[in-house]
Amino acid sequence: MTDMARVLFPNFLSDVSEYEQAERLWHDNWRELVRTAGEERRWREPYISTHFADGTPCRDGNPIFSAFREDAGIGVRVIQFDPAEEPASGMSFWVDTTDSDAQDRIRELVITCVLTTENLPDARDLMYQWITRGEIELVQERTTKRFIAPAHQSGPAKVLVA
Amino acid sequence: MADELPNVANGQPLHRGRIQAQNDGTEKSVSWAKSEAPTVSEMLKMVDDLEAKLTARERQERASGLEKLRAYIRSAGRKGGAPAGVSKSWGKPGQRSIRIDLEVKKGLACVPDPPDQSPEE
Repeated sequence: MTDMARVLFPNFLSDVSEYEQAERLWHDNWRELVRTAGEERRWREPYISTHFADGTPCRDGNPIFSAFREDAGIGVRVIQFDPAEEPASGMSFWVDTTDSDAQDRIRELVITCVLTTENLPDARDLMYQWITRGEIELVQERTTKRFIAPAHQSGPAKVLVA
Repeated sequence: MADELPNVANGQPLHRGRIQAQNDGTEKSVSWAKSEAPTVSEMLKMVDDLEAKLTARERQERASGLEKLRAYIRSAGRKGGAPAGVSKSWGKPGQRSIRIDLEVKKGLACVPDPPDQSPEE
């Protein structure tokens, strides 16, 4: 993380207001991306339950955001880490299939990070690629590696460069 | 290498899901497919069973994830359980292959134990 990076909503796990602001931030960023891509009607969110059976919100950041495109069988899930437990620079993603039963299979992009001013643009980049191509392209030192996003595609998102 | 699922009435289990330990493209998992929702005790037993499948190193690397999964199961039990659609992963930044996943695909999981069978905290 650069010196300029700042943790956003650092108390989101203990402060309901901060949690809701963080949720809103992810949601607003996502809506902007699907709108830009002209794909807003294809996606619904959330698709992962974030409540207990009695209706109590879980509010543990796991996930803090999710969205699903049914016609393509692809989803996205964001897990926001507690900055008190994890390094703010830590950000990862993976692509996996969520179930072994063919009828329920969803190819899912999962992004995990502490929410910082530096990680958010990287997460947006991953999300936009996923929305528009259903695959993730990593760019590192002017060398482009393309992955067609089979199960278990994964990598450190920090290799993304502008 | 997922567990073989038990037979259930009419081949249509009401409650289904799995917990798994990811490991760079391979996975070790414990699944359930039952007519009754697995209780907190049963889920904790499944976590123990999953842990037993891991090597010492895999266990050590996932110790935090396993404890967070156990904590979630106990929390869910106090709130009526975990409904279908719950999907959670516990891992570490930069170590995406070292993680523990929980998926509740159908019905409920982590429902409260009967009063005389509650696990010790």
